[in-house]
This record gives sequence, structure tokens and C-alpha cells, in this order.
Amino acid sequence: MSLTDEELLEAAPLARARFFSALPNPDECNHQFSHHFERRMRVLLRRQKHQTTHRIAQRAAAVFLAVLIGTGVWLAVDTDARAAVLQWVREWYETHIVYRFSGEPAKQDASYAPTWMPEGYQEKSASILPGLIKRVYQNEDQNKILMEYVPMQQGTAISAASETAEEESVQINGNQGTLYLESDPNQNSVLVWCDDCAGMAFTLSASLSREDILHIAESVKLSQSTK
Amino acid sequence: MLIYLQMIETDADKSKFEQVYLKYRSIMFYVANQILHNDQDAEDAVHQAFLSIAENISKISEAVCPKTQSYVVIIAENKAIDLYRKNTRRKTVAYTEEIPDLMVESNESGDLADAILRLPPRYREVLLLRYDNGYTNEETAKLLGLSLAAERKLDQRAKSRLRELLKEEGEPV
Repeated sequence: MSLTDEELLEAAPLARARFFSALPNPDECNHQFSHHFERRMRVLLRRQKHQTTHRIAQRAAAVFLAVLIGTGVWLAVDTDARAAVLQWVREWYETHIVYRFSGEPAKQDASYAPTWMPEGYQEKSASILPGLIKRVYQNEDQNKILMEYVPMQQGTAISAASETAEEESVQINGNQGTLYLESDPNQNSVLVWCDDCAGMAFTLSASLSREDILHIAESVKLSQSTK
Repeated sequence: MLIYLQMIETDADKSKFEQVYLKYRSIMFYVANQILHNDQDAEDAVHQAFLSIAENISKISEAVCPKTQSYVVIIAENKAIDLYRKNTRRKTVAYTEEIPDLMVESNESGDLADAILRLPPRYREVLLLRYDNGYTNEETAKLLGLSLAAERKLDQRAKSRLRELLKEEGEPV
């Protein structure tokens, strides 16, 4: 007695339809989930959002950009909230840090650029995409400095991971920032800072000294805005 | 150092996973509770189901559609049965037998679709995932948390049982 795949392919959707006709409509099901369940699901939803960022970014025509110099593990798990009117929150996970933003739409067409660069570096490219601006500087030895910024508005986030970087709180023109300084010269250090007044979050990634990175960051100025 | 800048979502662009969660969590709870008859256990089963769905979210092409509903309900049912077996500690219970069903009534038509509905839940799940959702043996094994060998055996047994049911009904197969 045979049972072909074709027969099963034909019968299975019918079985599914009959199966679900015996169940209530999803919209008619109401269950008040417990706080314990809701809390566990919030963790899962947040984790899932992070894991699917590249797919979401593609769909939103936003930008997914990575500068990979190393990977690693942050062992601390904590939430470090800060700042004026709660525009951003930094969360520490086992393997990465995420900065999430919750402010109103900012000056997305504002253009920022550093006015100081170490000797020999020239702007190689600049890309302005919805929600993300990226500037790349390069010297003759092909060493790169990457500056990016995003508006600190609802739905925007920065995530970072590092194995060996040392973290240092810094001030960039009065704005709080964090420098993730790599001791390995082959790895990029990253500086993240948030300009609450401008509503912009900046990152600077380069294999440079602490002083040079901070100098570049402090030289970043608004170069153009149509608002 | 690795760093990403990204747009995560707007209010109008919730993640696929979140859409699935918001749309189907209550029906999943309903299904799990039909098996477990305990709210807390049913919530645990739904949570386990969402952990599995999260791992396989790329296999869902559309967040809200009949096939996705079928998929998430099957996973919820599967996790509820797992929990039922764990709770009852009936080690001798066969993988497919003596498990509370969703009590889906067949329409007595005696056709192949009706026979699929009269299968034990594990058999029905594997056949629906394979032939309605269109997953491969490998994908189905992963979705159900089985080894590929176990999934193939389940698939074979489901078809064998299906043939028996049809033979009993006198359906030409």
C-alpha cells in the first residue's frame, strides 16, 4: 500500500484547515499572562531584536555597518542607565554592549565632520544614508579611521563587542562618552559618545593612541544642517 | 573591537518575532493548556515554544499567516507534550502514545486529511510540518528538537499509521 508525497502535499493543507477550524481564532483568545512570563518574554524579545538586527536593518532600509577588528566576551551583565531625559540607555550583555536610544527624531540631515586628523589622513569616503552617516579617513599606509553617527531617536541602537578593550569614561566637549581602548595595536579602539543637545550618537573607530582619538572626537563640528 | 550602528525598529516596523509573539501567544497558551490543564505549566510551554521559534525565526517568511499560525501552534503543542511527559514522569510512555490530544474532531469524511487529524499528535505534527509547511526532514528535526534519525523514524511511523487508518476506513491508498 503506497502513500505518495503528492497525496500528502494535497491533504496536509486540508488537514491544517480542519484542525484550525476546531480551534478558537487567535484574536479571540485572551489570557492574562503572569508577570513572570512577561518578564521572561521581555528578555527574549530584547535578545531576539539584537540577534536579528541585520535583517531588520535591511528591511528598514537602514544601515548595518561593522568594523571588525576582534570579537569577545563581556562577562558583566548589567544595565547602566543615564542621561538627560533618558535619551539613551547602555546595556551590558554577556557578549556585547548595546546603546539604545529613545529620543524624538533629531536633525537627521545635520552633517558632522572632524576638523582635526592625525597627519597623513585624508577623507576617503562619506556615505549618508537614512539614519546613519559614515565617514572614512585613510593614510598612505591604508590605516583607517572610521567616524559614524546616528540620530538618538526611537529605534536606533549601537552595539559593540570586545575581548580585550579597557573601558574609560571620558568627556567630549561636555558630553559623556566611553572609550574602549585596545592595547593591541592591531585592533581598533572605539569611542562612543552622545551629544544630547544635538540628539546624535557618535562612534570613532581607529587604531590610534588615546590622545589622538580624543583629539579627533573633540574636533567634530556641525558642518551642515538644513534644519 | 566590533561596533554596529543600526536602526532597530520603528513602531510600525516591529520585528517578525515580536509580531508572531503578539499575534499568537494567546492561541499558543490555549493549545498548551488544553494538554497541561495548568496555567503556569502552559505558560512555561509557551515560553519554551518561543525559545524554539526564536532560534528558527528565519524559517518564517511571513509573521502573520495561516502557515505561521500552524507552525507556532504545532511547536506550542509539542512543547506542552514534552512538559506533560516530564511532569508525569511516565518513562515508559511511548513517544507517540498516551498523550492528551487537542481533541480536534475529525469530520468523519474518511479521507486522507481526516486520517491525518486522527493521528497521535506527534505523528500529525511531523506530517504537517513536512507537507503543509514544507520543511525538510532536517528542518523538521530541528524544529521539534529531534535528531535527524529520530525525525525520519517518526515520519516513517506516521505514514505507516496513516496507511493503517486508511485501510481500516477502506480508503484506497
